[in-house]
Amino acid sequence: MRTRYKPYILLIPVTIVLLGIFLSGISIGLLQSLGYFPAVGLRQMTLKYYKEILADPGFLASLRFSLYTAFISSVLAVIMGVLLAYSILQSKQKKGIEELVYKLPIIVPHTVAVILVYNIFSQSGLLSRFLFHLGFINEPTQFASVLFNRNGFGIIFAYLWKEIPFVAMIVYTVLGNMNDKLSETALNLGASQKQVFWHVQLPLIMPSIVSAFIIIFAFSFGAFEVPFLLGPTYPQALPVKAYIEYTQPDLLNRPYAMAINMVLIFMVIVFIGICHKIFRIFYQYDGSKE
Amino acid sequence: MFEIEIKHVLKSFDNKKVLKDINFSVKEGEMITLLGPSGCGKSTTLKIIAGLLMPEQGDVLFNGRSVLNIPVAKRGAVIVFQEYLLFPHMTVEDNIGFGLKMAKMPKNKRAERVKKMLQLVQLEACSKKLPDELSGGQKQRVAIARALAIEPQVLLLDEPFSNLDIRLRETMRSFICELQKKLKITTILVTHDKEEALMVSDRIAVMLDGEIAQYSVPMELYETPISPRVADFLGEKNYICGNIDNGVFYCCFGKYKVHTNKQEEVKAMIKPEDVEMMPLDHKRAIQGRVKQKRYTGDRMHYIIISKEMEIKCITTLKSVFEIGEEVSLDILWDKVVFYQKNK
Repeated sequence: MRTRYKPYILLIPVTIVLLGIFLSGISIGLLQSLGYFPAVGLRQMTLKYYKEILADPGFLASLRFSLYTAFISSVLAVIMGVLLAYSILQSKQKKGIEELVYKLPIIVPHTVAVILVYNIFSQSGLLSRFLFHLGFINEPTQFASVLFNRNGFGIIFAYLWKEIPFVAMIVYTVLGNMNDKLSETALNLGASQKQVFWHVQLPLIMPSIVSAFIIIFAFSFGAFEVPFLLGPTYPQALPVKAYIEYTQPDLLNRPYAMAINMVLIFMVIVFIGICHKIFRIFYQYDGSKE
Repeated sequence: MFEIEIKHVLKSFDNKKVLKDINFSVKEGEMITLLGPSGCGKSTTLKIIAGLLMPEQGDVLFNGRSVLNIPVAKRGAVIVFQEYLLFPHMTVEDNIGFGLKMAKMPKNKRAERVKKMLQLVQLEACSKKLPDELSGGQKQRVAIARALAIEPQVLLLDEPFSNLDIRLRETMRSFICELQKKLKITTILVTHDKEEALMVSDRIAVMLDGEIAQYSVPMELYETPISPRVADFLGEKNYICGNIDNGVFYCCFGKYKVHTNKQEEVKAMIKPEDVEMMPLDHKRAIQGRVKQKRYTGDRMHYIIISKEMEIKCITTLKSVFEIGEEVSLDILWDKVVFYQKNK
C-alpha cells in the first residue's frame, strides 16, 4: 500500500510549486474578473465586466489583431521551420555550423529580437538606409512603414525570427531520429524524394508539428512585449490591452484587465481543443507508439 | 521477369571493404539465397541490386542491361525488410496501395489491385487496421503484399522471417515459397539460417567476408562444400588428416577405400551425421568413449574421444549411449569430402 502511494507522495512538493502558483493565479484572476476584489470593496460577483469588454469594439479589434498576428506568424513559422529542418537534414555538408547558426535565435530574448527588427525594418533602419544609398528611394522616410501599423508586420517578423528556429529544432530532432529505412522503403516502392517527404516523412512528424504550432501560437497570442514594442496604437494586441488596464491607477479597472486575461486563456484552450479535434479527424496516427 | 547478373561488385564503408568482387547470376523466375553470417555483406548486396546503394566498381545487369543508372524507384526490384517497415500512419490497405499511389494509378484500379493482394495474403479482414494493431506474421504478409502490389520484376527478401517465432516462420516460409513459384518472380533471399536457405532455394550463394565462397544447388552445397570455411559455416564438422594413395585413405584409424584419385596429404571432412555410433564391437576399427552428449529433441549430439581426437556424432534417438560408455564408430566414407591439407 505504501509503495503504491510513494510516487504521489514524492511528487507533492513539485506539484505544490507548479500547480499551486498556476491555480492560485488563475483563481485570483477569475475571481477578480467576476467582480470579487475585496481590497477595493468589490464583493458582488457579476458578469458585468465580461459583458462590457465583449461589447466593446476596441476589445474585439484587439482580439482580432492578436488572433491575426499569432495565427499568421505561427503558420509561417511552422512552414518555414519544417522546410529549414528538412533542408539542413538533406544537406550533405558538415552540419556543425548550420546546426549552431539556426539555433542562435532561440537563446536570444524576445526584446532583443524586437530591437533587431526595429534596427532593420524601421524607416531609419538598415534596410531603408541601404535602399537609399543604392538609389532605390530618394530619402529614408520613403521606405514603407512596416512597423507599428495595423498589418502587424513588425510583430510577425519578430515572432518569425524567434519561432522558425524553434520549430526547426523540434522537427529536425524528430526527422533525424526517424527510421531512414522507412524513406528507403518508400523510394524502393517507387516514390520520388518529394513523395517520400509528403507521404511518409511529413505525416510522421505531424504530431510534433501540431505540438510546436500549439506552443508557438499560445505563446504569441498571450505574449506582451513584442506587440507592446512593435505594435500599432490601435488596435492594441489583447495582452497589451490587459496590461494597460492592469496598470491603470484606478484599481476598479482591475476586473477589466482580469476579464481580458480570462478571455485570452479561454481562447487558447478553445484553440488547442480545435487543433486536436481537427488533427484527430484527419489523422488516426498520433505517433505515441513510435 | 528479370534475369540478374552481378559482375565484379565492390563496396567499402569507412575504408573497410564490405564487398570484394562479388559475382553471381540469377535465372529468370529462380529463387536464390545469399547465405552468410552477420556482417558478411549480404544486405549490402541486396541494397546494391535494389539501387539503394551504389557500388564502387562493378555492374548490376537486369536481362543483360546495366541498371546502375536507373533510379531506385524505377528499377523494378523491391526489398522486403526484416523489420517489415510498414508506414505506421497508414492502414493496411493504404500500405499495400502505397507504391500504386506513387505511380499515380487511378483510385478504382488501385482499390482493385489492393483487394487482390489482400486476398492473396489472406488479410481481407485487416484492411482498415493500422500496423500497430497487427501481429508479426500479419505485418510480414502486409509487407510482402505491398511489395507484390507494384508487380516487381525482382523480389528481394532481407531476412524476412528472422523476427517471427518458429511456427510462424515455417508458415511464412511455405507461404512465400508457394507465392514465388506461383508468380514466378525472380527472388533473392538473404538469410543467416542455413536450414531456411536449404529448404527454400533453387541455388545458394554462401557469402563469407564479403566474397561468394560457393554458389551451388542446396544438396551439392551441403554434401560437398568447396572449402572447410564453407563446411564449417554450414555446421560442426570432423576433420581427420591423412594421405590418399591409389584410392585408399590412410589415417590414424586405418586405411579406407575412397572415391577419389587424389594422391596427396589431405584433410577429410566428415559430417557428424555421417558417423554411425554403435555398442562396443572390437571388430570395428574405431573405438572411443562418450565424452559429452546433448539432447536436441529429435537428435542426440555426442562427442566421442578416440585416439586423443574428438569426434562429433549426431544420431537419432533409436539407441542412446551414456557419458563414459565405450562405443564403436563407423564412418560413411563415400560421403567424406577431402580437402588439401593446407586449405
